[in-house]
Amino acid sequence: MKKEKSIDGKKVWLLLVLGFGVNLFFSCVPTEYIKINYNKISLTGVDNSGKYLLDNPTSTIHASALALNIKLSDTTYFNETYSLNHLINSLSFNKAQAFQPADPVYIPTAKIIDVNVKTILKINDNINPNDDITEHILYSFGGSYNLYYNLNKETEKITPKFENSNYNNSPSNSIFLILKPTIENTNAQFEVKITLDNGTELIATTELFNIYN
Amino acid sequence: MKHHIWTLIFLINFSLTAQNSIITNQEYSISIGLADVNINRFTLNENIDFLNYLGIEDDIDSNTGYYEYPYILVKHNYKADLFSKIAIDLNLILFESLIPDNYDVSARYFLKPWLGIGAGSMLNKNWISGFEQYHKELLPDHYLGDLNHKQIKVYELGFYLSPTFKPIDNKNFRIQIKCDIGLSSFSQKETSFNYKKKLSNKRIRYYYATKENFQPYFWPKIDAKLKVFTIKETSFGFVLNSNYYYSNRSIDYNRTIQTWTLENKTSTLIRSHKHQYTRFELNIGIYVAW
Repeated sequence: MKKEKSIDGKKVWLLLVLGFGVNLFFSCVPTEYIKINYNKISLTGVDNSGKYLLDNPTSTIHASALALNIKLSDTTYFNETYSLNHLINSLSFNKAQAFQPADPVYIPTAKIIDVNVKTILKINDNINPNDDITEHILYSFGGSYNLYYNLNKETEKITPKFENSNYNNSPSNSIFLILKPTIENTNAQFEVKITLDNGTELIATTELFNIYN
Repeated sequence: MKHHIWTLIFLINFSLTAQNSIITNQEYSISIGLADVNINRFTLNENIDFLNYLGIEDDIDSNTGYYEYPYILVKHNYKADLFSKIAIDLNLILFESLIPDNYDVSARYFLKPWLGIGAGSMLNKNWISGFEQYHKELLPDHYLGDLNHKQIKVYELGFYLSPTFKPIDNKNFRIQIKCDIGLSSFSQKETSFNYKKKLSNKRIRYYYATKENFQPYFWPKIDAKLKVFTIKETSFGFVLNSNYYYSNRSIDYNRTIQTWTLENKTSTLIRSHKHQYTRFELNIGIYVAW
């Protein structure tokens, strides 16, 4: 009886040591810095009539509260790589720090130098189909009640924000485009073109939105 | 030449007095007391008035809107005479938090044993609390970003002149009456409120920066000291002091309203109403003198 208990005890200790060893091994993997190039853009509509600006896609939007969520991603670093890194993190010790840095860190190599927005449908008496409406667009990173940024004056602030430690733990990043004027139409649709400093242009068109008052 | 003679006379006098101890009649006391702050409040108008929210709110009083309860104070005091005619008086004051961030320091020259003139400086802590209430009601068709209770700490820094009378001053009992007349200002503070309009993309930010503004105050004080017993050259006893602070003051500020973006802003200097601001204090404690 005593001998059986001793063998069981040894097995438990062996499992504990093995588990500790696995955690230690994967914790020692250094932080990986991955350079990404945005090669995909996706657009969804957001109804910002409520309290917070959230990424809740919808095609029915209030006339004074239309926002677009633009998601930029590098599809080469998606799914498998992302899942593998997630697995490594789950097998590691939690870092004893108040702030846990992203692991791995995704750094966009090309900066966003221009964002251009065109309306496909009439917005109001002053804004007609196919008009460039970039001057009527502001942008936001969502979440808080901070004021917006001017799209045509502060485009250079977008990429540094994506490089910031709160935003660089994913191969995709998003911003919200905010339409200032009220839409005097029952429908709306937009085309967005993003130009990177490596010459890449990413263009996407939204779905047809239903506008309500 | 005249200047050199006066310098020499001063130095001779100094060396003569240095034969005796320069610092005499030292005294340390610790006292505990209450400070009751009162401020008259005005009804809300188009601009926020920070002094309407001075003090710590407890239960809401239906008449005044706020109820202030007295602050509890602990006061450390050190007194000494320098060169027999100059008296220094150093006070370190702590509220319930026991953080020593209030003081009252002065020096007095006694022309006669019962009459002196002094100068000093004081620092008093105040809280301005619950002013988010104003903004909750300001724009009813907007969401207010932060609904949390707001409180800011403002220090009142003052400088004063102080005639002093000692109607009774003997070995066992002393009464000293001081009348501080000075200028003081609340410290500069900043705060902001963010809004988002309902059924709209519009965002607005109200940003406030208060201004320093030295305004007069009047602060009579009375100190009483009663000796109980003596051991060799050290004496022990009780102290009692009370004072009443009076001022008519306001907190002016710059208000900046930013709409949609930081750059789209209008700034206005707001001059608030003057409030009658009073503070009554009563302390009792023990002292040791040597």
